[in-house]
Amino acid sequence: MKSEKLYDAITEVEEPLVEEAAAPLEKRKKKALRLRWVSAIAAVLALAILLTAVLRPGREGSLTAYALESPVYPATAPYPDVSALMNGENVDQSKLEQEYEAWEHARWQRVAAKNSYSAAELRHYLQAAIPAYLGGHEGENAACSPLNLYLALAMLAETTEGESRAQLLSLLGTQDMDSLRSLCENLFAANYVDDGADKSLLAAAIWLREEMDYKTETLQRLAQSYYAASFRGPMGSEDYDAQLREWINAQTGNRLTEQTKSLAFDPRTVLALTTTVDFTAHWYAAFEPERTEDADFHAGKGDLPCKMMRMDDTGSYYWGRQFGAVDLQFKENGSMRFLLPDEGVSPEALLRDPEAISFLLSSGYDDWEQKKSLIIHLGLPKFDVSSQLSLEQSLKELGITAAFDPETADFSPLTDSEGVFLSQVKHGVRVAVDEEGVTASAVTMLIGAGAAMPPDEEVDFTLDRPFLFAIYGMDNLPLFVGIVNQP
Amino acid sequence: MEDAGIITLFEQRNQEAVSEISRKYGGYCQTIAGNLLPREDAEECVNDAWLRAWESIPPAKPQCLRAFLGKITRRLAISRWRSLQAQKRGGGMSLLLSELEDCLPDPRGVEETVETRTLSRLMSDWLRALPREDRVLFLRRYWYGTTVKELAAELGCTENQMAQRMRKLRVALRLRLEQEGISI
Repeated sequence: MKSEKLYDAITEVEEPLVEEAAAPLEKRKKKALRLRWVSAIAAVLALAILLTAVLRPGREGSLTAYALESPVYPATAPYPDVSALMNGENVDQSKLEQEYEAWEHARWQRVAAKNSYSAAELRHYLQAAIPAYLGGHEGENAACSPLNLYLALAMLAETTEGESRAQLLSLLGTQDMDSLRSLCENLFAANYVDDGADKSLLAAAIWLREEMDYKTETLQRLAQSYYAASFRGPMGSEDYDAQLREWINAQTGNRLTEQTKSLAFDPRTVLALTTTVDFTAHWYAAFEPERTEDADFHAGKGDLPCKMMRMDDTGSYYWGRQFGAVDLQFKENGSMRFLLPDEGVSPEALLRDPEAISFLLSSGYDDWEQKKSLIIHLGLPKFDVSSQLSLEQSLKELGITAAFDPETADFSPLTDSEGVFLSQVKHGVRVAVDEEGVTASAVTMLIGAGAAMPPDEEVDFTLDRPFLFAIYGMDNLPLFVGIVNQP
Repeated sequence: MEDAGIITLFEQRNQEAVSEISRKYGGYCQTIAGNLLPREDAEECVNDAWLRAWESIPPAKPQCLRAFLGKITRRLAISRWRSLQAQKRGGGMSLLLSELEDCLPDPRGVEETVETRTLSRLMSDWLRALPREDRVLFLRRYWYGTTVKELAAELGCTENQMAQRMRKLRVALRLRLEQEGISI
């Protein structure tokens, strides 16, 4: 009987869910008071990418009108704030229902967006791009957001033509602009949420030189398919630089100020594209702060002190020829994966291992054979790593050469000005991880959400030497990937 | 006694551990089994669960002892229900199974059936994405076997409203499974 199979599957749902449902629901008035989420634990911070196109000296564009575009962002409804709905002792039930409905509606829109594409569509790009972006930084912390860069490169494809665009489409793994636009709209929608629990805010902007002519329809297209705002101002002026910094800081909750404080446009800049991601998530089960201890992190250049968070629980342990790995689930959607290279293997070397990249791009539990349900004694150092990458060379190695070449770059969809070419690609990321989060009562965690039969073996998994991490959003695509050499 | 202390007793192979879980979680596990099975069978099932826990801990070191024991009890109860079915005796589980037929996705166009484990993972994902109240209601009904009447009383609504709400949840689960291309 098929419903028995469903019944068996329900038996094996994650233990924290079972535990949560053990007690009866309190009647609405009381229950509502418990609805508010608490602080964030994995604050993956803002990252900005800056693509700057420089005008070749002596070729200025003509002055045109000042019409700039603003995007209309996808709807993101807040999780109901019950304290705001209290009327004396009672909760405004109809308002509460309304807010629930709105929240659920927004969530289902994200699910529908997520279901409109598959991870396979981005596989070609991710497989090539992740090692290229993070390579060449031996011994340093490095992090990137492959999806954020995907959107930035897609915007670049939108503003270029000819060989410049063809190379970008080839890297992005799409046949034509229509497919790319549709994919980007859905990627954006699936990863755009700020409901008081999850936060994953993407933003993009295009910055134009004051004297430059531009094509309104392209700016409209950027606003529609890439949610990009347009600005136009005097390059090289303190005011315009300040506006750039202010925009990035606003999109990233002021958490990249260290990286943006010296950010300024080169006076010769014709246009710049910026994209950002501000991401915060709660661990499914928090680390207990009292278990965090001083420990040594065996970095390449010698031991470094770190704060090691500890947790023991059953979960899935994954392995490959050169690594072991675990997943930590976020409370609502997504997860964070940690890959510990075998002794003697560096994270950078692991990035060159096709098997490790395949694992990074797998969903883990469902499509990775080498896994086992075990008791995992996890040690994870608290870390707050910042990374500022210049990606011109990486992109050239990935086949994006025409847009960088003043002789071949073709920005005709955006401007009639001649001699515009891409000169810089900057990418800043900050990722901070700690044990904060839920209340002390929820101390159970499941790694990989296996939770099937009780495990019959144990494994120590202490990330006390350089490791790789990846953060996945609702769509199971790597929103961030990084290397921690110094926590 | 705290759960950590009970687990230590298990690890020391001290039989007091069984007395402690029986004292602390006997009622909880009895409810789980009792919602699926006739009373006598439920009691036997809970006793079997204590034995299974004794065999499992160590090496298992559950972070959440209550849910851990609950799961063992439920697995045993389902297994016992199946053998009772063969003898044409049954309990509350038959009704739950017939309700769950609402969740079965349309199999057309799907070539392979999904493994139970994968299905559990999908259901966990689906449950986590639900508002807390819906999530808890679904599990109280289909994991703990709480009756619709009791759930309605817990939430302060009518039985009819609760039945409709449960139906909406079952349909939502079916749609989700269909979206994922699942066949059972």
